[in-house]
Amino acid sequence: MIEVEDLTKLYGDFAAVTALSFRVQPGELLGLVGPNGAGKTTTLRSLSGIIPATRGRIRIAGHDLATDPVGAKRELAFFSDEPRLFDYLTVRQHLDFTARLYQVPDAPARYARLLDELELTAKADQLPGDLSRGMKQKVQIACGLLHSPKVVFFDEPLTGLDPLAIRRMKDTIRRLAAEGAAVVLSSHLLHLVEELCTRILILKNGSKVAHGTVAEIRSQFAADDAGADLEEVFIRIATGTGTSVPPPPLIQPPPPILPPPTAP
Amino acid sequence: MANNLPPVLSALWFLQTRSFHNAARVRLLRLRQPRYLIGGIVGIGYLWMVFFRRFLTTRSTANVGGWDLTPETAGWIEAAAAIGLAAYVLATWLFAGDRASLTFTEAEVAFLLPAPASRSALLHFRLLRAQPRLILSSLFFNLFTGRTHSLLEWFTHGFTLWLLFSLLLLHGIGASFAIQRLTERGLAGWRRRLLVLSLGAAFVGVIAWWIYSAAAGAPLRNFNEVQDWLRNLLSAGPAPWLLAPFRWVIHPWFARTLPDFIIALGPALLVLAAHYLWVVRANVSFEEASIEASRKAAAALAAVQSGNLQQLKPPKVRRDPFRLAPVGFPPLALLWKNLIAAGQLYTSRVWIYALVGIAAFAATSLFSSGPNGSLQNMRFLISGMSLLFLAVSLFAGVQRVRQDFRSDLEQMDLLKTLPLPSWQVVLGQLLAPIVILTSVQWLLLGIALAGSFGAVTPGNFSLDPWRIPAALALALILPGINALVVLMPNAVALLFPAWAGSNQGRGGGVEVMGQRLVFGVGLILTLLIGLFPATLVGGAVWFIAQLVLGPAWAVPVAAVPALTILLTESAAGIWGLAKAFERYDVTAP
Repeated sequence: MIEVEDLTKLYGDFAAVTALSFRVQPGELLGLVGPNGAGKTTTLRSLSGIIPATRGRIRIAGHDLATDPVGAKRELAFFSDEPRLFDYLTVRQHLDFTARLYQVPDAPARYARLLDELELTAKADQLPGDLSRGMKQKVQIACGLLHSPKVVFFDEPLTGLDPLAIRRMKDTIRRLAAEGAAVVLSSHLLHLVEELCTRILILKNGSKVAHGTVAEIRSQFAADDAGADLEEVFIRIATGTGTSVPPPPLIQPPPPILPPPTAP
Repeated sequence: MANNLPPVLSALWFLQTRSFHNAARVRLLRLRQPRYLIGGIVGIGYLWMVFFRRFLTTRSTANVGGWDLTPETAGWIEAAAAIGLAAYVLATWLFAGDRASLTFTEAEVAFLLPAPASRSALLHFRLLRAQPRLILSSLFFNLFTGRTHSLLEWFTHGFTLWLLFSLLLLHGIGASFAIQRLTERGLAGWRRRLLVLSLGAAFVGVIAWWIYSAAAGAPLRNFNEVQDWLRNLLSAGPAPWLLAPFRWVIHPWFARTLPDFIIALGPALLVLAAHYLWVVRANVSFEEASIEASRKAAAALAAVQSGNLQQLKPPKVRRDPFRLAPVGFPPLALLWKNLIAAGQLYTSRVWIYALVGIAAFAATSLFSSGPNGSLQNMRFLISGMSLLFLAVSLFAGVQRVRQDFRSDLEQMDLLKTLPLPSWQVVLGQLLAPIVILTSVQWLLLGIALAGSFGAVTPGNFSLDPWRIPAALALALILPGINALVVLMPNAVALLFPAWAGSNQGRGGGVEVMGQRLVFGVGLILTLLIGLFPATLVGGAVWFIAQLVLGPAWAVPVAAVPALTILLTESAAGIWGLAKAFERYDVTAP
């Protein structure tokens, strides 16, 4: 469903992503994790055709993104961390707009169902400025799902959501995979990735350092600690120490104000 | 105040000097980028050629420059300016909000309001912070209005302008403080406005009473009598007394010698000092409203910097311009979206009303009696103005109608994920300004055509055989011209996105002015180059067609191949922009 071979993205001499290859099958949920600047967002943007790859081959549902970008984009949906909506289109107008772009003949019936499922029906004639962040996220999801994508990319999907919205977002992601979509999600929330994803790809400095199920990655990087969770493994990989010792805190405790008691 | 003022003043000094230093450094460093360097060179060249060169040349050859107003003319200008100032002050009191506010930047609100500074210290901070801008405004205003003045006039005019701007600032603040006091006493909103209007009416009423009682209301038969009547009105009775404070402020501008200026300055400085004391002694809470005012000012600044002035107003739900079916030619969806963004003006209902209006206008033109009546003159004037606006819209319209890539630069990642060939995205994004500009121009053309019936033309020339064919030809050719014109700013947006609207937070400056000049010249050149082949072919076709159809009806026939050429050029442009859109990197700085 998603086939990536030798994906490389360069900015001048700087390699944001280097020789990345992986596959995601229908129904599979791949978690993309890595420290800041690892190349997660660049990878997602390259996979969704927003930015051109410098090198490599990307196939989305059988369409080569370089030679058939229109066919590939018709099969995918990309959800950015910040819902980007048009200030002056209502929720319903966003769906009308998306329907025409993706040529969805039965759009009215579909978006009635989507609005209902996402509890947006009452907000259908409101502008984004009148909606909370969670609601905007829902509008973005409704638009993205209108054309029933076979491949879905989420970039930090839980940013800024309240606990209820987080629960609903997780349900949506699970349901998409259960319905046969190939899903890639990028997140810093390792417990989310561990909870949702069937496979995990860890990036560091633009390169793949680990790829597999949580169990496979644990056995590879924390074989000495059977109880290690993904966070533990991630820290070992990110710090490159090979140990589970956490990095020093960002804020050091202040020195004591009072002098130590002296012996009488 | 004494305890708090020095730290706040030193903080202000630090803020201003560091900000100036850093801003200058950023601007100098960005000159390493060709777009700023070229803009800087062009901007400085323009200022030199238009202002400084002439000023320096004039100053070196003459002691007194263009100050050639007679005392009588100066008196009239001074009186008119005093009346204008009085009207401005009245408007300040009428349209101000009900709460006192000082406009700070959002950063100043965050740092200063929680800081240990008294209200008076904050007030002085605000007044002093405005000074560099007031001084610069005075200098620039002088530069634009007094290119041929002597050095003395530069000084007297500049100082008077600074005094006037400072006074307006103080008056605005003082008025907002006083209005808050009135609000606290229950005189808010329309009650306060009624009070202000009553005072204004009393002002006018006293003068009217004098005119009536002094028999100054005799019928006026010619311009000289009107002049005499006005002179009498401004020099006798209550008007000179009522306008006196406003004249004091303006009078130094008209001083012809240094002693005159110093004498005239006395009353003006008194008014300024009175305002300063009025503002400083008013102990009014302005913090809460200032926070809101700062937020609005920041939003307005962001809107201006991004060129999207629609952001100044919160968006409203707008009706669909037309029904968008879920299946069909996809670029129409982008047109539909951008027409919604353009506002309620672009619904079919509005255009039906406009067409009915033009039809009614044409009917009055066709059936009115007498060719030289004032109604006919008025119609002909409206007709001429419409044509003038149409001509201006060909060059300037594209700067106002920006519902294309320029307004969607922040949504480029969304546009890039659309399952459309690039040329369709580009076409869809360009359609809205083409449609809007063409619609407005057709409307203006319709008004011009309607008003031209019965127009008196010089000599034996008659508009009748030309009117309809010429309008038809113009109507045909306008979409092609607009398609060409819209390509240029969108090419800039896609090829040099930073030119099109990413100057936020970096300020304007001479280099940005130069960039705009380069852009304007580029637009005119593109249009001329694009029009050249169309004019050539159109001219050739007209020459052949006029042999059969006559000169007038050959014009619309010639317009058809000209339009075809323009549309072909535009199609080539869209193909080029599609390539640029494909290469556009949303992550590029």
